[in-house]
Amino acid sequence: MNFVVFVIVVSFAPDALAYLDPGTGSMMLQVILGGIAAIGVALKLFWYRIIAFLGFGKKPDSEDKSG
Amino acid sequence: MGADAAQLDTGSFRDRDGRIYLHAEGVFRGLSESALAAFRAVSQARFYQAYTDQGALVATREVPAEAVPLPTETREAWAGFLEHRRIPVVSYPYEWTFSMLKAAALLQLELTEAALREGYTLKDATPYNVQFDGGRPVFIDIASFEPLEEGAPWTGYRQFCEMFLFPLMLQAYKGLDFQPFMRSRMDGVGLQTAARLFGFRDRFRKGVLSHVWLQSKLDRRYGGTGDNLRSELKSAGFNRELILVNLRKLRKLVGRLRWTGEESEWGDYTQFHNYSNQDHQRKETFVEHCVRQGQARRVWDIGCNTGQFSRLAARYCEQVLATDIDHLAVERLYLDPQRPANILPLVQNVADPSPSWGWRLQERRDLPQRAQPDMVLCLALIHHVVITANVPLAEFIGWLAGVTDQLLIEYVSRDDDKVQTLLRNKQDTYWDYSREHLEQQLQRHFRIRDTLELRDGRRRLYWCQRAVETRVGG
Repeated sequence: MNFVVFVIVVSFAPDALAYLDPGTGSMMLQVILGGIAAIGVALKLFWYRIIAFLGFGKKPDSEDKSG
Repeated sequence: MGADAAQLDTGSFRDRDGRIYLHAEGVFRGLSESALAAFRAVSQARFYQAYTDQGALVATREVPAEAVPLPTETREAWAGFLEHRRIPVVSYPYEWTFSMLKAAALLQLELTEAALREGYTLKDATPYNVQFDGGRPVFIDIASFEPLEEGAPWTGYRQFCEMFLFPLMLQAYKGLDFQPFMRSRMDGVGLQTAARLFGFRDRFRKGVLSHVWLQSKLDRRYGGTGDNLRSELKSAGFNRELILVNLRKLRKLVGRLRWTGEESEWGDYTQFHNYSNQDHQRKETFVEHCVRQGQARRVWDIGCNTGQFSRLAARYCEQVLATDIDHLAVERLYLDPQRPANILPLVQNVADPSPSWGWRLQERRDLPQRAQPDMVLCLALIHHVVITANVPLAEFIGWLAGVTDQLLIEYVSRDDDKVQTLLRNKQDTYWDYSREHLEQQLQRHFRIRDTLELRDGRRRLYWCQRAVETRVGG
């Protein structure tokens, strides 16, 4: 389910032509590859991105800068 | 410390927490304080002991700094030292066959999974951390194990894709040899390159949609956003179970990848060579005789095909390096369940061999820097080197003389149908391809100890010993 939602989201997402961070996209994918067990994590992580994609709300700044 | 001092390995610089030093007596690894603590901890883990006992992790022990043959100031730069079992011949993924890379990938996944279960992880996922010893993959980079930070993703995932998964999928799904990709880019097949290589229809193949297409999309979309994703993941509840799910799926995916190989020119050599049974028998007896009498410890079989003569040589020496240009032939040798453990099969074109490259052109080294033979078998190969690859015969023999003390070389005459096939559509400018010229060149560097005539004189074997006065190097 989370896989399908995400395929739809990224299918329409424009490519960011910025400096390539080698890991961010790959780290995100790892949530999707976590399968059913990862649905909760995926929702928390991607919720605002989905909302932002649908045109509601605003992406919050990441507060925790540690790690 | 004089000439006996260990040499710094030129390819182990990436990880700042350790460095490899090579010495005739052993392989040593200097470790930082944190890396030493990590080693002491992980070496007590059950999985570490189990894989070491199986031989899948290189045998390693901590040694006192005084025992390491290094200058004092170098010794003092590290908190401690490990000694590893020496791998007879270091090889690189662009010299492996499909099944060798696959075996290395499965070992990498298995170790990562086993480590995770006990609270450790592997900080990277590169096939350069795997070597082949005794015919099987062995993980050598012990310093790659580190304690798992709960909530952190698998750092090596992207690297695993680029260095193992994409090359394997290119071979299995597209029939593209992965070695040229691995040899041209130190970091393997890049994500965006893979995304372009796999077309729309390939997305229906197992693993392509998620690991290639989706990952490349996410990478392009979010790669430059500057999000602190590590901490976001942690607070969203990411945990090791999710990595384990991914690892298990990857193991299944990699385990199912198959490369059947199309018709190869040489893959069926044993059915297609042009020897009569009697001549074949005589050739085998002669080769066996030379290897035995020559008392070579390390033999190279260049142009080994599926390794018929490598197997013979393996009975009488410690190590055989069996190389051939043909991926499928070498793959068959690797997959043969009867293959002796002291044969290392590698894909290698003698006229376009593995170069020294990477940082300062020494990060990965050419083959002669990694292995020195006492004897070279060069059977039914010379016509390919001189006529197909256009290497002058004198240069080829000169190169062999620089590599080995003993040479067993087969001359394939112009009357032989294999040579006639090669010349059929080529202008014959090969004035140097003659028996007389070969003998003349052999005698420049070697003393001919014995010869054998086969196929009514259309083929001839020469067993040569390098003449002392032309000795180059050591």
